[in-house]
Amino acid sequence: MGQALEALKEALRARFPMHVVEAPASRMPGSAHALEYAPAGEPEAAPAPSGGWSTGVAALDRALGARWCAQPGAVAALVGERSSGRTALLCALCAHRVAQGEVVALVDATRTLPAAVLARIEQRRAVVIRPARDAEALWAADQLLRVGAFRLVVVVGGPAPGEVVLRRIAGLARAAAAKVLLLPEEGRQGAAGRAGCALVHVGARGTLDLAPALEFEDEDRLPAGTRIPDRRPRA
Amino acid sequence: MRIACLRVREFPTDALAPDESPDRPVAALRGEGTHTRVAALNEAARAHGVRREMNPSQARARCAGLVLVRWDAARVRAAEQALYEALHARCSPRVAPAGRAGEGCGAFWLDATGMGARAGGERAWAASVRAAAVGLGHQRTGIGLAGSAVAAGIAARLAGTDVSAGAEARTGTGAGLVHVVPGGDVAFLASRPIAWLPIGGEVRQGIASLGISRIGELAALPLGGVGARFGPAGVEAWRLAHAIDVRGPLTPPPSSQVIEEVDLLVDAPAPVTQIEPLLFVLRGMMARFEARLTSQGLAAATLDLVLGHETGGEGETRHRLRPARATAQARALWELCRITLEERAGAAAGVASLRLETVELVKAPREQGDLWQARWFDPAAAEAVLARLRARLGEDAVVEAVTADAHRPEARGRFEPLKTFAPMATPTPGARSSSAEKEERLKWALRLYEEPRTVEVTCDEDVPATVGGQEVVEAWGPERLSGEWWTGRPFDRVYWRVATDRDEWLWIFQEPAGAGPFFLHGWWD
Repeated sequence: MGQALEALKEALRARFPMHVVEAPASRMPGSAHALEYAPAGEPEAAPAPSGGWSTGVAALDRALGARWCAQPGAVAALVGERSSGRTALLCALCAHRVAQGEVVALVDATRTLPAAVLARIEQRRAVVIRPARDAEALWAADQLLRVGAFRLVVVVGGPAPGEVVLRRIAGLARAAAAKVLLLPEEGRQGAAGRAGCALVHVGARGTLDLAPALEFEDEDRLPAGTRIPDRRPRA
Repeated sequence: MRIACLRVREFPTDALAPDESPDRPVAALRGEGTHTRVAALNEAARAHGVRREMNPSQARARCAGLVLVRWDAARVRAAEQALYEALHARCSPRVAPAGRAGEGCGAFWLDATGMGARAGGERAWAASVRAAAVGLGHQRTGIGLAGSAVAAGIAARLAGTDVSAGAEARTGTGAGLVHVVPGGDVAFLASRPIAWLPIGGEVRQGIASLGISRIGELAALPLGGVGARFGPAGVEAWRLAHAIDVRGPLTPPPSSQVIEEVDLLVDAPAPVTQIEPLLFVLRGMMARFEARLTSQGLAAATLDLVLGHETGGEGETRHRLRPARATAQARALWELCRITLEERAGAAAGVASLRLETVELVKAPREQGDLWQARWFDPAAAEAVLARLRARLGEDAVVEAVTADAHRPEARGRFEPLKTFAPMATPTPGARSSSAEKEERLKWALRLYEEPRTVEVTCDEDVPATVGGQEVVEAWGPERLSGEWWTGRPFDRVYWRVATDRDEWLWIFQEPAGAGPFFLHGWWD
């Protein structure tokens, strides 16, 4: 019975854009195994499955959608301007997933990811790949996905992914039950938003504005609006 | 898991002068001529004022009746081997030396899990382990029994001290045994001195300089702060303070060790000149090696194949064997030998003996695959893909982030080639705050260019007004940073944090301060 129910849920998920959840037996007397659904596009309406996949940032969970989070393997691109807060999101997300016991790989084609911040993540479970050439970033991600060990693969920078590349990565992600996040540089989002790749625009002009939530590490040392006294010796 | 640590005090003098009474002062000497020094001594010699690194004359001046013996690594190793075999045969199926073989540390890890049930309790079993060591003449033996290697090691140290002092052990279980109850490791460690933690001297000094003298005080510190100040070594110390330790009876000995040596001239009338006979002998050697590794739960990461050539020839030829990933499979290791020998023309010329040495053994993956658990994966496969990435992208492409105590802003965090990747390791508890707390503390991350880029900056009364064509909306600064004059590469910069009209938060600096060009160092994101 249980296997048949799981198969039915999978089939429904694959066929219809719905959030399929198991209904509590008390609500449907006489039926211990019933299904109900919530339409996609209204993630808030869908109850968060207990123990479900989460980014650790509620705003990002909402932006990605419950359906994306529920999929075992999925691809998303976080696009946005410089200083939109994408890196802060990424660091929080990686720390959260590592704390959940997952192994994380970050492919940094820009070679600018902050080592001091990443060092706070449990190092034995996070690997950073820094290819010398931009073009090798997606190849590295491809290799990492094939092994099946990394439940989250992040590609920062790299070439604009075409539709074919994205479909292949989405297929690998599904096979490995891994989430893939792309953080392309400005103007290099390629086919993100199509080909099975969700698109989240981070920033004041996008769908996810993090500015109110963000703060500086040294906020107490350098409060906004005040100027550090200039102690340079006067010539 | 329960781990026992057996530690024999004065093991080298026990091994080198087995017939001497424990009350007789004995010292072992190392080195030749004027460089001869005391390398080990027993309690009686210490009571007379003899110390390590004294020369023989100084030692004799302190104690006229001192018995001096020469250090003999072979005898020390043989005594260690005898103790190892006794422990393995009578006490536990998993025994491993807790130090370098042949160095006479006289310490062993034993897997104590479930042993108590067979022997009538853990304490009774520990007493039998101690009896096995005492039976070989090691009277001053201490046993520590705990849930982690670090606690067991310190408990054994305490137990050994109690033995030498002739006092009962603190737990009341009798001399020579300190038993830490299950789940009590952290509490047991808390009151011990920080100097007893097996950590590097630099980290130990750094921690001590903060006024921390007890392990419990280190455990009470936040992990993030310890990691930021002391880097990975500090994190490791913090993990040890929380009784999280990867060492134990399955940890392989780190030193090189001869596995097997075969004299080919015993069966052959003349030295071997072709590869095939060597491969035939190697097949049997590898099969025996596999059985040995499997019984100890180990895998070979690096091996040395040493070919001894006939007398009068070139002596020995050493070939380093590195499997793509650590393995215990005889077939894979034999294939590696075959490829190595075939690639080197003339390698088999005049070979009279074969020797196999271990260089690096690692713990074999012992995770049981779960057919229904989608999260399980083969750690060896992860290692293999990282090796592939290294091969194509370069050694410095597969890295881990580490913090460093540096004055230069860009040097406070850096990437180093990945050394420790333990995907199946237990996550550090408390390493991360809850998701809710993290969300409250969503911080800007400062992304830095590897090489700061020059940028056009115009100033209005010394305050940046435009940066790279963007109008500056807000500017914080100047913040002057200088230093490293002692390295020969001093820096003297004035930093500004600016917000532009395109909502970009940039970090720029001027070097030299006040007169030089401006550079874009990074941005907050």
